[in-house]
Amino acid sequence: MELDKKAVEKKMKIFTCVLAAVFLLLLTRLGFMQIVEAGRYRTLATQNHQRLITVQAPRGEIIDRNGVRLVVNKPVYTVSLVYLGLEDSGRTVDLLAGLLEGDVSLKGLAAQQIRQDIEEKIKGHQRLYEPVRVAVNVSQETVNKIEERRMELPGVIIDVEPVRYYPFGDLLGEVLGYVREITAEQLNSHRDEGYQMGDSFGQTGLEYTYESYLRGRNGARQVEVDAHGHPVRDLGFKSPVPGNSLVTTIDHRVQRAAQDAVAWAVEQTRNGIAKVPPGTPITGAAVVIDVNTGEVLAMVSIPSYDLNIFSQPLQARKYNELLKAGALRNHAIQTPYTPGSTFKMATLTALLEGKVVDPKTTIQDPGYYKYKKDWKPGGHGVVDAVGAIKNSCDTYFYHFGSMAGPELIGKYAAEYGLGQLTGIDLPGEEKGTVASRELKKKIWAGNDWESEWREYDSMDMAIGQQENKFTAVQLANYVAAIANGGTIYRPHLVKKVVSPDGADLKSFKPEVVRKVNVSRETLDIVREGMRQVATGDGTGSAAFWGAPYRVAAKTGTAEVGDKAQNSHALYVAYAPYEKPEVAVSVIIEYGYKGSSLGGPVARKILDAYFQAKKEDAGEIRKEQAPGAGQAASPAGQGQPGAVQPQVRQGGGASPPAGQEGAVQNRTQPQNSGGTGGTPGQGGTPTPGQGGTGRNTSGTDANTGGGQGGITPPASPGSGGGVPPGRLPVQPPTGGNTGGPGPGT
Amino acid sequence: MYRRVIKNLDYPLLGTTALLLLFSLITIGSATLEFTDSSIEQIQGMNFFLRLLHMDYYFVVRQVAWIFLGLIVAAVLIYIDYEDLAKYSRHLYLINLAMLTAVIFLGTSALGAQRWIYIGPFSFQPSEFSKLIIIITFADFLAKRQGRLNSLRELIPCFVYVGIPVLLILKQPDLGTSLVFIAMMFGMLFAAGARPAILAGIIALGLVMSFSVYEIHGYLHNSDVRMMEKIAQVSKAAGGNDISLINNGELRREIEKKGYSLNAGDLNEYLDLLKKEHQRVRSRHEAFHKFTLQEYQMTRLTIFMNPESDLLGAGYHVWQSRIAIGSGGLTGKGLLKGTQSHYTFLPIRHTDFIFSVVGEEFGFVGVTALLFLFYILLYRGVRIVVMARDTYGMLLAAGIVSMFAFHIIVNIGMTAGVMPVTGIPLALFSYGGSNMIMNLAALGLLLNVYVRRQKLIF
Repeated sequence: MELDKKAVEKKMKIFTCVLAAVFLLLLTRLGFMQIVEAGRYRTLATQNHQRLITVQAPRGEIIDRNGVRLVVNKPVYTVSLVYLGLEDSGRTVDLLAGLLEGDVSLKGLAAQQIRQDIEEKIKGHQRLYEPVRVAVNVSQETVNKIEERRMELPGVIIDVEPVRYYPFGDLLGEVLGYVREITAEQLNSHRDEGYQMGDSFGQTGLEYTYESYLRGRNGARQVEVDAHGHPVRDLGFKSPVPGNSLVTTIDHRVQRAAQDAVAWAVEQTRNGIAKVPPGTPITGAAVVIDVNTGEVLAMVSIPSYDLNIFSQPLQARKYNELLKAGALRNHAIQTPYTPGSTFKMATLTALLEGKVVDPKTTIQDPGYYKYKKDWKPGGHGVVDAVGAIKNSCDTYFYHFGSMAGPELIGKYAAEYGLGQLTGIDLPGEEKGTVASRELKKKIWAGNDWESEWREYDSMDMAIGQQENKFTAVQLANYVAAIANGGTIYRPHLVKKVVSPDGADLKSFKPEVVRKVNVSRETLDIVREGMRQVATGDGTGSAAFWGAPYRVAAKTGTAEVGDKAQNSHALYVAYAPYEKPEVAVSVIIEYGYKGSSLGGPVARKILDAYFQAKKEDAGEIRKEQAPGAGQAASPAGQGQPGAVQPQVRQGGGASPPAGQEGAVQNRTQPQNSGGTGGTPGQGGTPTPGQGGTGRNTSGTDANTGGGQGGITPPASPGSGGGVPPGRLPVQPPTGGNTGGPGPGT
Repeated sequence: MYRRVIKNLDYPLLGTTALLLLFSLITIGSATLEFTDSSIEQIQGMNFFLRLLHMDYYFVVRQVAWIFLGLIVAAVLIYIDYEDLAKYSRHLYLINLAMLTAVIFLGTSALGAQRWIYIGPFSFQPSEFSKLIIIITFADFLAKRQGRLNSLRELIPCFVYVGIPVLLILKQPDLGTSLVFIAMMFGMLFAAGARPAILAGIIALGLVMSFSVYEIHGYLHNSDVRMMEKIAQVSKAAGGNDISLINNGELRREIEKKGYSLNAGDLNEYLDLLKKEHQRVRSRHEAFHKFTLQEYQMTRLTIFMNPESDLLGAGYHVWQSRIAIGSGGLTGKGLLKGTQSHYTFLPIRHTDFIFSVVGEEFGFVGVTALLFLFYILLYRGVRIVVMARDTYGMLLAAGIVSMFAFHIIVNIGMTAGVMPVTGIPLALFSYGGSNMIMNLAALGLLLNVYVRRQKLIF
């Protein structure tokens, strides 16, 4: 059959038209995508291949008053996962979970659990292509294992990030507080401050109060990545800004001693003294305050715990254990305890100021007042105001307390800051309560008889029972006010904030809350009473037998009011008596008697304080040593101490101080700032070498005043410690130039 | 004779083809380059020609080899008078069937389908050559039936003739290639003079049928999935976690309506009931797939219907391709500068998704130029259809043109997200030996028809 050309031509015309139409449609579609929607697709493409990777900024450190670092940052390996949505993502998670199983940071977790954890985290992390942190503080071994199988683990990122590290473990735990990843609520309430998911946030303690200073500003790295999340090239880098450091008022030596002492006392209490069911948490607290500034030298809350557990994935079991034991609470500021007889100074103040008694008023104590017995059967004989404190004479306070009434006693308790917030720079401070008619009414509401204030309530209140409940920090501050002549300072834990470059950003000066409205005479009598407590046959004297310093104190045995007749052991003190420097409060829950448990704790604490003071004094004298060394040099050849007493400390031949200096060097190897370059190596065998220096650390040897030589004996006369890597250009000759090293 | 062939070649067609191949080679060289370090920075400052030197030539060299092979085949096909081919059409048809059957038994699978046969170190895709063979044999088949294609009854033998190889290809399974066969068949039937109304009716029927298949599958699939979810929840609840049930009020009401309480014993009983029911639903679902399309093909259809439903899973390819094209903008990011391509976000970019690379690196200007070249190619092809000296030649040309047209439209439509993903390469452009040789051979055949357009020449 012949070909119908015309028909074919017609059909092909139709075909061509249809083809043209389809091509135009395609072109329209492409044009729409590439011209109209190009911006949107460009953004999507950029999101695909550009990543902003956060570079964690280290948080500021927390340092004790002498420059010893209490909280530092430690670089650790972290493992993160970028969910790529690839088909084999499930396999990656499987493999990764398997590799992480058995790592120290995830101890005890089975691969299955880790896997679920990771999947939940990915699910919770809505934004694609952003790394989700899977494990922190991963061991080198695990990192090696992951690196070996890199190709099978697309999207897995190993990074080094700073985490909190606490070189002293449990030291000052509740006060320092811990840091965790910011929670959703915190993120919400701090929205304007530039926080992001995954940032660290101080949860409690100083970490919380000073969060705005401590936090660093994270940097970022902008990188281009391929479809597997592997970085291809860097586009830019914004350096992280480290946080500011806190210089605290804490002295780590006093803190250590105090913490150990309270822990010891709590342990004693647990092992027999306390009559409580097993498993009942027993707490203890102690506060050491500088009476002239309100600086807190030590703050103890027992039970304590090693803060380093918060730098790892925290297991719920462990956390609950701590919570149940009361370890996460700072008992020194958050738990009000019945003060017992430590309250009697406040009562006596009220009696004297309210003219209920005068200093000479005496009673003949038969061992009871009306229906209430003194703690000492048979009584204390003739007792005046001072004697009432010295003997902790309940009869005296029953007698006059009932005459004074709750308003007067309550007024002076409040005057001393008891039952009031001290305003310490820590979160969660509890107020406690001062006994009062209203309080009793509130507590016993509905009980007509009990809700009325009775005479015996006044008597109980006067000896620190009833509803009197104060925190350890209130007690310490109250004793401090008595000691310093009536000034209430705001207790504080931070001296200053130091920026990363070492500049002082902010200093916290002593802050006077108020002068108590109590006469000098009254305070003198109270102090005299407290002095007598700690001396002779005073109730609290045993603990301070043979102390090389003079103490004023008061014991307290606060009845808990339970069936087992438990009581808390309390002890407050200040020292030295003549020129008070430091006030201490000690509370041992269920510790029975203040004199038997509280006293020894206070003794240990005050011993540590004066020991530390002595060490510091040695250092300070050594600090002045370069000058002394120079001056002494001519005479210094083998004649230490002949002319100028300072030489003894400066030029060496002061073995005890020297040893202390050495200890110092061990405990704070990288210490800079405050004590930089000061502690010396006292006992060098070459007296007359100008001063002492710390050649253990290259930079430190160049700061501070303590330059000079630990020169080897072989080169006598060449003053100046030689910083590593730097030789003196001109060897100094003779002792005259023996002072500053070449670095100054 | 030899000189006459040379003299009578369609040079515009050849020129267009040459340009397309050159464009293709550059794009392949760019597409396969991956950046794993900062070497991308070196490229920034270079001009176009310097950048050409930095392409990845591994696949380019291979493709050039395939092109040469294809040109040889094309030259041979130009030389033989196409009418001689008609004489062997019966043999060719049988060889074709044998080859496609062989794939099912000897084929190597890749990407879920058996498409390749290995002969020594070489592999080839029989279904590619099958396209050309079907054109040659079906043209003969139709030429003999010209004028007798006016009723459905007369068309049925045609459908059977093409249907047998199509079924064999579907068995691989290769939906895309089967669709190419169907497109070619309709194109040739149209050219052969079948009544357009019948053809349109059949196409419409086909569309309606595939839509119902899609919907039926959706129903079967969803009830299967929902059943599985229910079982998971009830077994969770039976295991003591009743929160999962309390949270799902609908399921709880359903259980209570059927007279079961929420205690463990009753729940376990209900669980058995559900499992039995699920088995029924599951077998129904499986039976569907056995007789129609596979699950993955249905997923592709689902993605096409609702492209943003699973951007990281099944919809990943199309989504990345759209990002690549769209982000290219008017003038493109420049050769070797496409981030979608060179950071490997775009999958299978030197083969099926090569058009997206053009879109990303050369922009709207580039894709317009490419579409223009393809249009010229097709237009010259249509001219040859019209100029063919006899029905057989005309049908050969029509088949080849419809094959090219279908490939081009479906592939570009797929990368732009307006057609479902079918795995059809871009003719004369995608990397791939079998496809390139077949395409060039088809062009050779087309030129054969052109060269012999006037009976008297030879």
